[in-house]
Amino acid sequence: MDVYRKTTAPELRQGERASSGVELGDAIAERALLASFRLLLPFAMTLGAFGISFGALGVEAGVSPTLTVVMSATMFAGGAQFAAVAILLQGGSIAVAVTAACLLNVRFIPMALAVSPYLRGGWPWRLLHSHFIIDETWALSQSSDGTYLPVALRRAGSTLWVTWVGATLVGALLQNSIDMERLGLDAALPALFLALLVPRLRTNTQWGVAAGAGLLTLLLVPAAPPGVPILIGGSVALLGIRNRGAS
Amino acid sequence: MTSRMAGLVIAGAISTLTIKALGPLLLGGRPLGRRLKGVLELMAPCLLAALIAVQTFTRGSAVVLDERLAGIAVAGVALALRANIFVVVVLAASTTALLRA
Repeated sequence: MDVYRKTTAPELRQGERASSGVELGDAIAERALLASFRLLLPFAMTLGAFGISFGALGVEAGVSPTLTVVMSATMFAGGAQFAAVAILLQGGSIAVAVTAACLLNVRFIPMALAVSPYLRGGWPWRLLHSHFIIDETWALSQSSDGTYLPVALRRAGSTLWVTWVGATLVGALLQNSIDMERLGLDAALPALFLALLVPRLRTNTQWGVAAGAGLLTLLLVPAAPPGVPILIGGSVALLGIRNRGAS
Repeated sequence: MTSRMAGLVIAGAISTLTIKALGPLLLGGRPLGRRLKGVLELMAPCLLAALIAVQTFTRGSAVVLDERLAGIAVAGVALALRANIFVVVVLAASTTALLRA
């Protein structure tokens, strides 16, 4: 805390210039994030590779290059987009594709709910923030004390959104997918999530629920449609009801 | 065909935007109740662990052990040694790729 106070004082002005009515928390976040475009780089690179793959796969599935890019811009949800397009490629119907996408997206409901109390402004502004929520940006915008920083969500969200949409365009135009498996890039994403998880494993409770959530998810994968195991695994967090009630 | 695909994109966009916006639009900036807050505080570790589990140990609906596990293990060691996140990701991908070569 003291470190923050010492180092953020000069940056407060920058924060005020950047957006009106800026709060101290925002200034701290801004400072942290100025340094963290470097932090965003590995996320952008991994997402970029997936985006190129998605662009190529979309066109292969018969979605036009323009519509593939529109899909990335309006959905901004990699897992759901891949699932929808893969179902079309297997000859599945639009209804099944959209249902699968929804199931994969359901986890965004609790994620957005957690961010909600920290969002200010009218509904278009809140809508913009909620659109920027993907797994990576959501985790990146959570500060060490468990609160969420809208400025961090905006910065990570806009950076990764531009990356995702741009990469989709490249993939759709080249129609040449990246061999993700040969490059080991399918391991890059869980490695990023591990990097986001580790700082959140400080207490025994956090270790316990994380391990439980991972195991429960794996148990459900063979039985439930994609997306559902993650949601049910994530619901191990419901144990937090008791946790908070006791303290 | 084009209208079918347009249907997919429109339905995908509306459903995703709605799902993501549900909390922020209904709840607005209102504070959460204590109990809900307790749950949401544990959500990050739970959801991240669930995502890691799926992306490391599954292929389709099958649970598998493959080269990715080695990549993630190396990433875990690198993180324990406080490596830069960029290094962590490169190590995970290159370990996985090398074992597949």
